[in-house]
Amino acid sequence: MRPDLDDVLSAVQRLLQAEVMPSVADPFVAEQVMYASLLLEYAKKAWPIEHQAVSEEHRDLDATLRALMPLLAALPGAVAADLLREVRAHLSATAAEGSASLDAVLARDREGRGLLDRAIPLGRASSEPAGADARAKLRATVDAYLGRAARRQEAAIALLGFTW
Amino acid sequence: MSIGSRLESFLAARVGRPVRVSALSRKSGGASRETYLFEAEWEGSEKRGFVLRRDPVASLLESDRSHEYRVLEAARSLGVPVPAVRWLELGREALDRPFFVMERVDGMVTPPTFPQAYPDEMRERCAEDFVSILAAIHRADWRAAGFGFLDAPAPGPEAARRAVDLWRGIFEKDRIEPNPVLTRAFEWLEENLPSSDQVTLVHADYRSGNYLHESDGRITAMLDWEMAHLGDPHEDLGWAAMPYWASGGRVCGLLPLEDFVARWESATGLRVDPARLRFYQVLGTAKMMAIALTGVRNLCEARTCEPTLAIVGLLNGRLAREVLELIGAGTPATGAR
Repeated sequence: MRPDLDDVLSAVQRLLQAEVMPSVADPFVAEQVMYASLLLEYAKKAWPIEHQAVSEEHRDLDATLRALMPLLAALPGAVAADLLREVRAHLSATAAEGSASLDAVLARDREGRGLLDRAIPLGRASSEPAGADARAKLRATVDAYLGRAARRQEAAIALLGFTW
Repeated sequence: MSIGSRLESFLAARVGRPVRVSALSRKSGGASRETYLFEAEWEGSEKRGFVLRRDPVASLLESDRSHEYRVLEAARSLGVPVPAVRWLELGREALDRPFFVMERVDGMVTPPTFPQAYPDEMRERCAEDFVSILAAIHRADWRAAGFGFLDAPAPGPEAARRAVDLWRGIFEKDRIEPNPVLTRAFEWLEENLPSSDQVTLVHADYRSGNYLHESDGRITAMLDWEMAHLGDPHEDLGWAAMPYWASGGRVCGLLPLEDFVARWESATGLRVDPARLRFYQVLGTAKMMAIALTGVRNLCEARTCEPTLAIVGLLNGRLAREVLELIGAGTPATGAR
């Protein structure tokens, strides 16, 4: 349905460039308007593929958390056991939600990254032999996800067309 | 009352006669404070250029104007080019927020990496000054130079420990959502804390974009001393040598890493420890991510509307990839599915 988001953002961008910018005398303000226009351009390019990016991240995060479950189960201690319970609950809740709104998926993924965040110290090398293999695998699993997520983020910021 | 009129009143009280301020303009960049250029004249003094640096409402970096003022004052005695500071005001009556005024230095500003399109001769001269000024900072007898107000870390891991604690604290305070990449980076830093036998003055934001230079490349002023402290000189080397500031295979767009290290070693008589250099490259990258997250928080909580904070925040995706590469985690070879 028109105007779609691209139409709206393009109109605001044209307004800034054709009407606002020529009437701005202060170079500082003019630069801010230029950056605002750059961000609108980014939003125009990012929005049509946002759902793909969110869905790819969501699938990868879920698969990573699933892969962590047997590793957490193999680790000694209450911290790993508590985290395992929370990961299990998170994955069950995500599965039960079915098709959710974009906001709901983003909120779930923030929660998932929070669980991953808490798993990181459990991969720390230790002189304790129990769970050594699980610790190493946990670290490798988390690292592999972080690398994939960082590459996805970097691909997204390429749309910004701005770097040093 | 405009900022110009208020500035005139403040200066008049300081110089003891009426002051006329002109050509006042806000400068872009310098995301941790507001920077204004202006000219001022009063009876008995020619019209001169000044720079006003005022605390922002919200920024990328929450720093202390009086610290920067005192550091700049002391840095003059090192023989390195820095602007002369003139007046410090910590109250809020004059201009709503703390600020200081320094003399204006002529020169061009570069982006955060030296543009590859600039002439080779200009780059070479800039590179020469870039290393020699850094070496002068690190060679300095900081006690004799008036930096005694800074707290010196003990030899050993304390310098690295302090730096990690500072930036981890800022990250934990300012993140508005989990950031496992930074958590992982700080975990690596904790596991790899180096020991240092050298305590020197550390500029802590030494890179292209933070100096002024002439068209022949001569550096006329080193700026942005607000994070300066005492620590391991590798902190400045690692920060300058971060992949984030590099271009054309050159540190800060200026010179290859091997030349940077060799020239610094020759000018200081100190040796670069590659493990410590890497540690501080990781720390620098994590620090830049933490700084960007402070900006993101201020933006998302509507304390500022500066679009550059959104841009710097988005660029964290690149820093995430770079920090993981530096610590050898999540690279395609180890992390491909």
